[in-house]
Amino acid sequence: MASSGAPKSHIDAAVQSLNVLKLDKASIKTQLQSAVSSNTDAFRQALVNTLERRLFYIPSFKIYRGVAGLYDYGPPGCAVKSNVLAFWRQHFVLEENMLEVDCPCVTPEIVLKASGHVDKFTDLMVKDDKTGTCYRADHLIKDYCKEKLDKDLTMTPEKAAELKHVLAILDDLSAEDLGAKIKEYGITAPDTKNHLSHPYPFNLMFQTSIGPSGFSPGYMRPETAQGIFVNFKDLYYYNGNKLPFAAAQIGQAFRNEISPRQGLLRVREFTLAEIEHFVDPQDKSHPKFSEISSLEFLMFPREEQMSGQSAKRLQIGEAVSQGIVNNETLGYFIGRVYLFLTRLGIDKERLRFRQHLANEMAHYAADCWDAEIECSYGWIECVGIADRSAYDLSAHSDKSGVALVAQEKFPEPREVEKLVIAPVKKELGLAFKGNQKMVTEALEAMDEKVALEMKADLESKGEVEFHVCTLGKNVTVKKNMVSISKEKKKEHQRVFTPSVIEPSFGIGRIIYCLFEHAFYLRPSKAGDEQLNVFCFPPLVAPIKCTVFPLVQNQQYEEVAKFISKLLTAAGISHKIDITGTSIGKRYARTDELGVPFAITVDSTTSVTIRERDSKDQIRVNVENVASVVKEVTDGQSTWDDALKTYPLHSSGSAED
Amino acid sequence: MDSAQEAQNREAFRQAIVNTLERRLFYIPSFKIYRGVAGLYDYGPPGCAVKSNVLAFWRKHFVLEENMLEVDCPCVTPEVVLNASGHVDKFTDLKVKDEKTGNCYRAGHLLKDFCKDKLERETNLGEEKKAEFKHVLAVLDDLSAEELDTKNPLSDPYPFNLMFQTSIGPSGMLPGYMLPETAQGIFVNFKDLYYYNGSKLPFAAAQIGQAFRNEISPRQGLLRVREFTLAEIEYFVDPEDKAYPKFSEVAKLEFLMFPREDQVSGRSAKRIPIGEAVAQGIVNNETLGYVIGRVYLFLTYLGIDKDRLRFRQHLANEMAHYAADCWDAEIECSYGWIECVGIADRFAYDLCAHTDKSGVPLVAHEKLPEPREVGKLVIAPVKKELGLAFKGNQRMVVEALEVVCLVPLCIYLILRFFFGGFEIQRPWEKRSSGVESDPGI
Repeated sequence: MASSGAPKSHIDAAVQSLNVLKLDKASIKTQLQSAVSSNTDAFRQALVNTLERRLFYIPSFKIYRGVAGLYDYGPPGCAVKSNVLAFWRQHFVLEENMLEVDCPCVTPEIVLKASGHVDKFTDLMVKDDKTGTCYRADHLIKDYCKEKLDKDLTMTPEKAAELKHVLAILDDLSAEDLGAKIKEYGITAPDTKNHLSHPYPFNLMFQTSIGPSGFSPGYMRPETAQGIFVNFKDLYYYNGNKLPFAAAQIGQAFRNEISPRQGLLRVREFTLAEIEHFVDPQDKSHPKFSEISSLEFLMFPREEQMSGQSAKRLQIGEAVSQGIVNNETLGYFIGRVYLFLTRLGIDKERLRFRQHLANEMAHYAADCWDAEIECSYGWIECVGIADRSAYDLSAHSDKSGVALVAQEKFPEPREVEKLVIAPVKKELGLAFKGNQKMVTEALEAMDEKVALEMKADLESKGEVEFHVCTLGKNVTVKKNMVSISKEKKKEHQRVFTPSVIEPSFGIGRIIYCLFEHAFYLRPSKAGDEQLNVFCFPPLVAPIKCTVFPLVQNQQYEEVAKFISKLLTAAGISHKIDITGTSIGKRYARTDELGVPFAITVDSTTSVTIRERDSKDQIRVNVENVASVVKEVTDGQSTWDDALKTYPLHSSGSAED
Repeated sequence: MDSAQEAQNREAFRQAIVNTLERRLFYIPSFKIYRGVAGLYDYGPPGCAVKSNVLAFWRKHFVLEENMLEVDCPCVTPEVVLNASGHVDKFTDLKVKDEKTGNCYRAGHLLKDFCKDKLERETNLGEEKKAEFKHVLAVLDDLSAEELDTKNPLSDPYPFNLMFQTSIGPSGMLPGYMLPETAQGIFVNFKDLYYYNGSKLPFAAAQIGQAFRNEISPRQGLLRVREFTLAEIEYFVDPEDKAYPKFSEVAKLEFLMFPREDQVSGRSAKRIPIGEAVAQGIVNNETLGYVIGRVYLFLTYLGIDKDRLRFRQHLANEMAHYAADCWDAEIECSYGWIECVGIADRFAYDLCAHTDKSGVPLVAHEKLPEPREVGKLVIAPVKKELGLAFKGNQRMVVEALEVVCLVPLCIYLILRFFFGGFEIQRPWEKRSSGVESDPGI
């Protein structure tokens, strides 16, 4: 506009109206946001009420006022969990012939020292100066920034940009940085408005002591994976000394969270299901990759996140061939996880695979993807799929002195050039006295590149400055102290540390998201109230069917008991309801537990089966009813098949 | 065959089986590359599969068959819960310390080994001495710290709590323990479970989970370990009506039973149909009998030899004072008869203890078809007078009286039974203090 030479007044007016529009837009956006968030809150409230009232899960030790971050699964929740775990076993362990193990939760310190947990498994914490209440430093800053961005309309664009930037880099901030931000923003304790301490690291493991002496510290494991790594040698042998193979474990893990929040999503004790797939780092192809390569789903690669784009549908085969996903094995597991989650009933539109940004990944990791599921709390990481390279096995080899390696035998011996570093002990002893051992070890540990540089320097200059990390200083190494050469050798086998690809499943998080995706409200027949329904697939439904006599009489009750026996014999979990309440009420009760089928006894020869979501009913002979329910719940046939085979029953006003 | 030869054979057999089990990774010592930790084992692939088959069958045989309410509670437990159950005060073993090396031993074990060794090896032992050692073995569980003193170069025996202690949350102010049994998680949820069951008795709740015991000196491989899987069932029934509708289904089962009488009079276990045992009053009630029958079926379906399985009744000195009757399913293996399942009628003890400590009444109600007139004990503390008499202590005195009022309301019988996981060889022996699974004696 400015360049077209329009009068300034016109431009001013246009700018002004634009500004008004912007303001409008901003206020509409806030209104929308608050409407959406109040809807989300209402939805979550209805869901959580139902879950707790029907004992899917409840806070533990409630009669003693509970403990934050500990939950019990009541009967239906426990059944859902054991169904999810049984399916996990079938889908992963059985399908891939994985070696399942079961290791204790109590773990001696040395194991977790080696894994790095004792030193690094910490969160930064601040303390209310007066009451001593503890908070996570990053949570406080996150809440502050989000609150400001949502509610403060007068904020300048620069300020908003700054807060957004802080949110983006929060994970990278050190204790000092976080402390400075807390001071800068004047953040105080949320409950008391008291002054806060400086952030300091708090180890998230539950500590204990093993045995009566008090000299053997231990921890409750923070993940199940370490139990597999320390058994690598035995498992490799069990597998006939062949790679690749996978080991799996389902078990409890413990994290002493500073401030547990978000219900089942961040808790202090939870069930993990982990797989460690061991592969040759030089060959990460997967023989069954073609079985899943044409699957297409939402992926959110690093590039897209950095450039502000959104997740997009990609074929996993293409993602691997384009190098977006590092290798076939990783791609294979991503595909299998997608199948696992969607078969459980996770909405595929609210599931995405997000790649870790460079700053999220450990330095040794080759590539990491999280399966994130969208729920009322946002996108939640439920499965992590990481290529951890050789890190864990190397760490335990180092600390235990037991080589956790694999061998590949060559069909013919190969001639290889090998680097040989030979420290001359006598000269080193004279020069470094007590430090000799450290210098020798550091020299032997040099990788090829460093060693060849040293060789060149020693030949040209005769001596070189060399950093010994165990001494924390540089020493001068002279030419006569070490010989470095490359020699040709015949090798019959290659010895290497396998790479580990680790899919790790937070079972509680998956279950919570499943609850959210399965939950809906529908009006009662009279239209006077909203009824709660969980549309679980039969695979995960806590109870597969209920049996009701239509009216209270002895004949019908006996038929109901007979059917119950048949169902028990067929291994179908079910519930009899012989209370006198109306059939509509009884349906509503079972819908709220996500029971997919209800059998109503309205005669002594045939009964009706009602499907939960469509409310369609079919009529089936008493003798056949158990096998029909079994076929449909086992997935051998579908409800549609049953509708074609058996006559439809029009219920009339039965639901009232 | 003489007894030495037999012991040698047993040893060789056990060596062969343990070698096979470890070589084929049924189970192996945990953290082996770090030289292991006593009392912790990993199940390798075949062991893990056996374990999950046993648990799946357990679920089918008990939970599904009886429509039990299965729950899943955390292992980390705040102190207040275990204070109420009595574990914090009484879940202890007496330990002694080697005064030079600091090594710890269970006092009861040392004494047992000493007596057994003497009895087996010293053939020229006097009759009195022999009788004394046998007597010591018999009363071992009842001995107090003073009586256990063996005058060896060891410290005096002192109690050591067998729970793994930890701290919940970052403040360090909330002590917690790893659950020593899964049952407490069920008791504290009684109110919700009762409601879930339509406020009707009887019903049963079940739980499979990890339990933790910081054993002083773990021994006997998988039989006494520091972490193990427990599968527990709590039946809640009306104490005035312990009949069981499905009892007739098991009444005809006949198997080895070892009632208290027969143990005391030195007879051996005998085959009795469970129906008769209940009718004769050997087993206290039908519900208890039904569960014994179901346990028999469970174990024999799994492959336990029915001739090496017996149900042994607890002697009076083994039982907690409040318990009505206790039976252990004992399985004979190379270590002798091992308690693998405990079936106890614990009366109202646990629910009352939690009612008392939490202030939440864990009670059931029976609606009477017609109102009944009953003579009822009414205890009404007169606050004013108590206040005058006890001043600051008034509240405590009032509460104690109110708790007394509550006791008759706690009308449950709780049958609880414990299961070990795999191999049907799991830790269930007596504690030297006699307070093993029965806190609160």
